[in-house]
Amino acid sequence: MITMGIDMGYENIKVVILKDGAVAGRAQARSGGVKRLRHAEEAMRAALKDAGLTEAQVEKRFATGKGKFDIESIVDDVLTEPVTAVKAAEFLCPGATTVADIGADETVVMLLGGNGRVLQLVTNEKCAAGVGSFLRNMARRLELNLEEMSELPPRKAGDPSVSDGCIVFGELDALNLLNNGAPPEEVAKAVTASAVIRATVSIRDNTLENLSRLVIFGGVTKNKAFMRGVRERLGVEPVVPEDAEYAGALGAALFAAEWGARHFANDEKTSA
Amino acid sequence: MKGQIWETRPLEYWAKAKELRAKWERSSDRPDKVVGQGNTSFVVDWQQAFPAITVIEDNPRGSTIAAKNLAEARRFRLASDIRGWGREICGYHGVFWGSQFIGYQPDGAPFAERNFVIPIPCVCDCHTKRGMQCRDYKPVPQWQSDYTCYIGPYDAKREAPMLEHRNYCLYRVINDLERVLGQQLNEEELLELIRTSNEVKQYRQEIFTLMAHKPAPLSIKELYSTYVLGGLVKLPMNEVMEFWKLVRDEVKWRTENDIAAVGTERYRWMEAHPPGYYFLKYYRYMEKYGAVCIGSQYTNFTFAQLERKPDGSIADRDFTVVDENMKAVRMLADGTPVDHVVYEPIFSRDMPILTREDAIRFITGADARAPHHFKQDEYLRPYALNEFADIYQVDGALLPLWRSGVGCTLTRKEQAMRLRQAGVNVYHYEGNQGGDNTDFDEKRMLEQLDQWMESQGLRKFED
Repeated sequence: MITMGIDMGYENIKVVILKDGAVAGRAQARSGGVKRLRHAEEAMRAALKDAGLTEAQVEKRFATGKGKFDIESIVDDVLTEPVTAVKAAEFLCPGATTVADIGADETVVMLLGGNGRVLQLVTNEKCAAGVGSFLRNMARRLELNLEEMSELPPRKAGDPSVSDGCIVFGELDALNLLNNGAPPEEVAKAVTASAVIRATVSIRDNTLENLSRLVIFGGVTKNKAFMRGVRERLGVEPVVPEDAEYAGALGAALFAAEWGARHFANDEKTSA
Repeated sequence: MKGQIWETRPLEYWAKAKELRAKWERSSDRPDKVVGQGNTSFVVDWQQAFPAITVIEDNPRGSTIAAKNLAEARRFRLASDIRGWGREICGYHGVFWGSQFIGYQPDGAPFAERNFVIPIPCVCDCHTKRGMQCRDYKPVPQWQSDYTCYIGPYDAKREAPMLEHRNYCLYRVINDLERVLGQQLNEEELLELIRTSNEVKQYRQEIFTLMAHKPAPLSIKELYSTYVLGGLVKLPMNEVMEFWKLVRDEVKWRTENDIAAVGTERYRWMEAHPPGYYFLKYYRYMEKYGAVCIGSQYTNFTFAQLERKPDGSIADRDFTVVDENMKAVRMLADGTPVDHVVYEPIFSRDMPILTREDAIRFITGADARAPHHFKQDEYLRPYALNEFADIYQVDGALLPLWRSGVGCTLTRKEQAMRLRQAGVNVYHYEGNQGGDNTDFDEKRMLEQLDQWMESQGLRKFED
């Protein structure tokens, strides 16, 4: 069976093609704006090309992500982000106890109870939103690329810091540091440390600290400096699958592949 | 209805509830009475024992405006803001007192100016300033009734003098009202009010016992429409008593016949505190998933004053709370962990009430008799919420994180942690308390509810 999962993220659109239970192709495109649907279609075509398949061969398409309703008319079903993340975790990392999806606009943490059961679902508080977007925007402000942000050394005690409570204050603090002559790299380290604190608070405070097998998804996992900070603050080595930013799309494709299975108490769209 | 499991029927008492509500809304149109401001009591509305006083509460007025007219609510709130009443007061107080400063009500009627004020503090948030706005507007007599409280573990020795001070405050307020307004409190009437209030309490306790039934005979929507009748919405107590008897009878009948508040009930959730009155539609939204809100401590238990008895009934809380988990956080001075708290009775529930002083002790002492202090105790407050979840067999809890009315959010994270440990799924949303929607993000909240429900294995029934 060939299925497609589309994750309409806040910053990026990700598409995964699944063929007989294995990833056959994938692609990404920028999200946002009035051309989001067109960008999604481009990403879908690119993923098909990557898989060496045609559109007609895809039997089911499921969408997830913040912009999922933008493409509701061209897919078979839409699912919320946590359930697709959990699905992907079960597929990629069996035995996961906690899944954290750190995306551009939101950090969602799920405590798992086995068999796809979500014991707890925690979304970041508003002030702690936008970890991914914050890092991207600050990189632009600091005239650093994402690669440079990723390679930053750790922040040491006594180095400059910015607010870790509120993204707006964090940005203001960073600008103040720059205006006072701090080198962009120092400010970038402070910004990264602030993002680490906001994300790890969401993970640790709400999961009864059941982090024995923590899986982290989301585009922010590509940032090595950020992930180093997360490891240090949590004191655990999280599992980060390769291409963790595709997890949502993969989860959606997996759901589509199980068309006919009963996932929800009143499943109608996905029941035979 | 798609997904319907249970039979539903409109509530027959609804017409009576609306009639009482309408009567209350006209209660300031009484030229024969002195209109005042103050929460006279959660227990007994003692002002009714005066021949010509009518006291109108700000909470239900402010929440009504927030629920019905967001534009006016915002205008009124700004009017409060520019006079220095910011977010340290409840959202609905900001709304309501802005109406006073501007001088009219949402329906265009003039604001009913108050002729005296008794700011009554409440530790749930910053109600200590409640009603002081009257004196900002014009010079009227004001009596400050202290609400002595301590945030931390209960200590009967400390509580006793604090309660005595509260007795003194109320005694002084009543005596001063007699002197200043030239009216005499009818003590016979006061004793009768206590009797009827106790009867109302019995009916309410029966209703809350019946609410544990599956399917739930009422949901929180009905509770929020009725529970204030006779409390914050001040009405003649004989009518209140008749009304609650009517409600009890109907709820009993619905329970016996499995008549549900929500025909699709398959998931029960609860809250801890009042909702954002500016966004009540989330209750209906959750019903699309077959999720019924069974109530909250606020509506069902007035915080933690009630508990489940061995026979399954719900009644006044006993004086000793035992919980194994308490050992982890509570210990004696020598470090010995304890698993219980004793609320030493400062006086008996069955005390004879024969005089004005007895009545005052009965009214103020309600907090001491039924440990209202759960509101301040960082361990017992979460404990009580877990107890509530167990009684009503809830699957999940939706706990707001307010950005004002800080007392409401006191121990919220601890509550969430304890509920999670007990297997109750907890979800948060953010906003401002009561009538202030400044920090509220409607789209985000609805998305979060979708996420929450799907993670619980539920999808929306199609309309």
